[in-house]
Amino acid sequence: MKMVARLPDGIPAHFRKTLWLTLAEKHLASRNVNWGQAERVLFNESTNPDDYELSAQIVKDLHRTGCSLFCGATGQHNQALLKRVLLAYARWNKSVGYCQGLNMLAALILQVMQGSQSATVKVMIYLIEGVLPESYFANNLRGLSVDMAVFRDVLRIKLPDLSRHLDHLQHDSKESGSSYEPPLMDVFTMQWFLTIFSNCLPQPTVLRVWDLLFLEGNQILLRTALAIWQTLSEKMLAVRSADEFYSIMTVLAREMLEFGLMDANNLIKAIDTLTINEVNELREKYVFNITPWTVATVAKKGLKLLYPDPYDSDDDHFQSGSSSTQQRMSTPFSNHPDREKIALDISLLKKQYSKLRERQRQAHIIFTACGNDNLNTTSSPALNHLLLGKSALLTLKGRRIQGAVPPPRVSPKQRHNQTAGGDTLHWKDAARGNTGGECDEGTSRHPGNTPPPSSSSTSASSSSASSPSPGGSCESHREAGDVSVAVEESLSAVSRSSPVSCTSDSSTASSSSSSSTELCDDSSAVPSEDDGSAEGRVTQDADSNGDSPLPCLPRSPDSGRGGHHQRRDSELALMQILQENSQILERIRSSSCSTAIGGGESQFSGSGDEDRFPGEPDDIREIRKKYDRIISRQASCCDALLQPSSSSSSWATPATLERSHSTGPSPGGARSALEELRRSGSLSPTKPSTAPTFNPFPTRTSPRRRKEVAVKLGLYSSTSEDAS
Amino acid sequence: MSYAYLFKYIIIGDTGVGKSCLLLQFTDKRFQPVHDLTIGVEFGARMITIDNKLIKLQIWDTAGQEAFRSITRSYYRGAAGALLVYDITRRETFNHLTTWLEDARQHSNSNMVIMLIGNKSDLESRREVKKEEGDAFAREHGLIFMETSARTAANVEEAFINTAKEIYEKIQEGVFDINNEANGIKIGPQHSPSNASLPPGSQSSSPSSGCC
Repeated sequence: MKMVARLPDGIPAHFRKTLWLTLAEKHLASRNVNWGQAERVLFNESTNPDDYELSAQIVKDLHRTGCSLFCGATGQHNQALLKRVLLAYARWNKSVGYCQGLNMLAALILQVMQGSQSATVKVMIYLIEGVLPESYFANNLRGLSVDMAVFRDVLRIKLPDLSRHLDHLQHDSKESGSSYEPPLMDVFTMQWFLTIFSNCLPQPTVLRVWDLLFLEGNQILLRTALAIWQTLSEKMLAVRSADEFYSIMTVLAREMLEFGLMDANNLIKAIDTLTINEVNELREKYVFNITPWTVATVAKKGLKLLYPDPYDSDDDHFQSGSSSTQQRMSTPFSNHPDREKIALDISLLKKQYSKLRERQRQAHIIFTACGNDNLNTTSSPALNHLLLGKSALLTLKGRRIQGAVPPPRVSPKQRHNQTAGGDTLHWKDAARGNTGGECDEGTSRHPGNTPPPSSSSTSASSSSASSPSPGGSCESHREAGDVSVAVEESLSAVSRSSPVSCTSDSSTASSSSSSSTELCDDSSAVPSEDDGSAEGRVTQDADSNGDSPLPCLPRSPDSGRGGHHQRRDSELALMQILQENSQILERIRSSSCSTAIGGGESQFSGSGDEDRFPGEPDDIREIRKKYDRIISRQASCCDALLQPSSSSSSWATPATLERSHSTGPSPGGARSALEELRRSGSLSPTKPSTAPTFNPFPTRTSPRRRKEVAVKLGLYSSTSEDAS
Repeated sequence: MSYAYLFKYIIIGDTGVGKSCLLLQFTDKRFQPVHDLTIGVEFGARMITIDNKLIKLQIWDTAGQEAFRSITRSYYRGAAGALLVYDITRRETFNHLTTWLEDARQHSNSNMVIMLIGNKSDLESRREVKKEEGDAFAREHGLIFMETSARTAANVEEAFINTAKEIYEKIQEGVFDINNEANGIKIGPQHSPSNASLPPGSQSSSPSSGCC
């Protein structure tokens, strides 16, 4: 069939309906949809409250579908049909509802389905939920934004000349002293993708593109756009300004629609030959990093310049998920969208993990670089916890192995440590570390601690990292955090062993490094504030985590030390990672919750698609496995880095760290996590820790010193743990 | 044809208030009752003359539906002027103005000139929002105000041109730093390249332009 679609003249028109419908029905069958039941609800004449607004919007657009079938007197009947179809789809998938552009798709499908509204809705469901990438029409068109970003990259790869030229026009207009210019081709690409070329190409051509789309999947979108730009590229290369580009493209777009700028067969052939191998990677890359539409906001607010908030629509995502959970009760068939959502959450999570992994690699270098320089920035104990964090941060910046590692984005994998890392432990550790001194309390916080088997010193952090966890989630995170502290500590051990670096007491170094870690971890709760103060130009981020308890602080006096932009950037990057990580963990937790809910409901929903849910725990497990792998890679990477050091005798294994991601850290940040920790005796671990005990990160840092500082700073009150 | 300045505009407002029709009326001097809806953003341009200087208006017409907001926002930033449009026959489009205004102020440069437009003034019999109300809203928020009809072309030219005048004055007063990126003003090319490859009248709206 794929071959037929590529033949001259493509799939015969009379066969198209059968083809599309068969594919759609197969999709519905794979989702175990009871169509008879669904259809009754979807086309129910009685209205429910939501319908009024929906209908109003749909009606407004009915005559704006750009299709002659729906205009004029003869169009009345078709408009009524179209309205029913759009309303039915909106009822089917509430997270999408009705989005402008759907009317054009529905109109075209309705035409192919020869006016059968039921068949049209089926094909629409298949198209939107089975063919197009996720969230193409939901979540503020997130999927579309992703694909637009992906397409820019694809263009860069496939048509480098054109891409370079357009970039040049875009930036040229900037340099000539005028204005901010969004990527030039976006205006058109956006329309093409959203209407699947139905308002871009002549209809016979559109139908052939759609045939390919149904048969070969959503890559066809990108390939078709690529083929069109390829055709236009000669003309575009002659354009000399952004302004001219828009003017000419406007004319060309009209010609393309009305006269078909290119022969349909040639276009299909071009689509066929333009294969893009990178699509999936690119989509993954962008799915959590859709920047173009938030950049403006971000820049305006001065927030998070490095990583425009990729989460802005996620809240909606979850909210709509939960709200539709409620309505699921009343309309049994409508489970699907919700379930889709949950499944989607998990796939999003997966993707985010892979992205994190990348960032980890970058951050690792920052971290390792910081580990060995020595700066006495934590000299004053008379700081509140924020300032403590500040100086730690700066320490982080300031410290670098001379020439050993290039700055921010270079190499390996270290970073989940901190990120995954516990919110809690660092607080204590850092605080304790600051006082420095006696080493007698390595196990004081964990009654159940086993003594470190391997290395030389009694690092509170490393021992706790390997100790069996008495607590639940926060405990496990703490451990991950510990590891990161430990990494730094061992790194400082390296610096100790190296003749080059140490100018100051390495325990101070390690303590300050741990305090920096701690700050970073805390930044999961107050990411942007930290960014802000570190960056000196960023203001408070109102929408970051919602619960940021800490106000924005000015830079600490020490800040002069870390003046390099690179360092700042890397610092920001770190913060971002940390924040993201905690958000992910949080999300994992919530998606496990929703899985539980969904699973519960599916038992009585009786629509026979329970199998969607059992899969999800697996998904989570898979994510965890990935996580483990990341961590183990980090460990081995650290290992490599520490080769010359005699003190790095053992390493945290994935097993040790496994628990670190079993649940999310409390987004409330280190403090609340600390409190949780104190109560942790009553919490049961979500995953019993069976990890072998290692003491991977030797350190000279004295836990007691840390505690003293913490007490001074008012961060640490005596608990029963300490009493021992 | 060389222009002294290029001003970027955006047109925002609820769906169906007549944004695309206003643009089409301004650029093509015609009214198209049946047209496609705007997907994302569309582009239109026209030359005008102020103070004997040729000024090119580059106008971004945005989709009104909420879902598109995050996409269209990226076009706010580079705009020197905004037409904030409501429909005098639909009260709710007036009620949403505050949201639009906040959005615009938040995502654009602070000097952006905003013109409030009550469209469909030809439909007097169906009027739901009094002119005084529009006036009051504009005064309260420091906007210029005008009622227009894209159908009859009443005040359409004026709306676009008055906005341009305001921007021009701001440039003369030095409020706008024309060398500053992102305030939506561009100084024309010294000698005219192929910018005028199309006559001004026809440099207009995109394929599926039309009105609301």
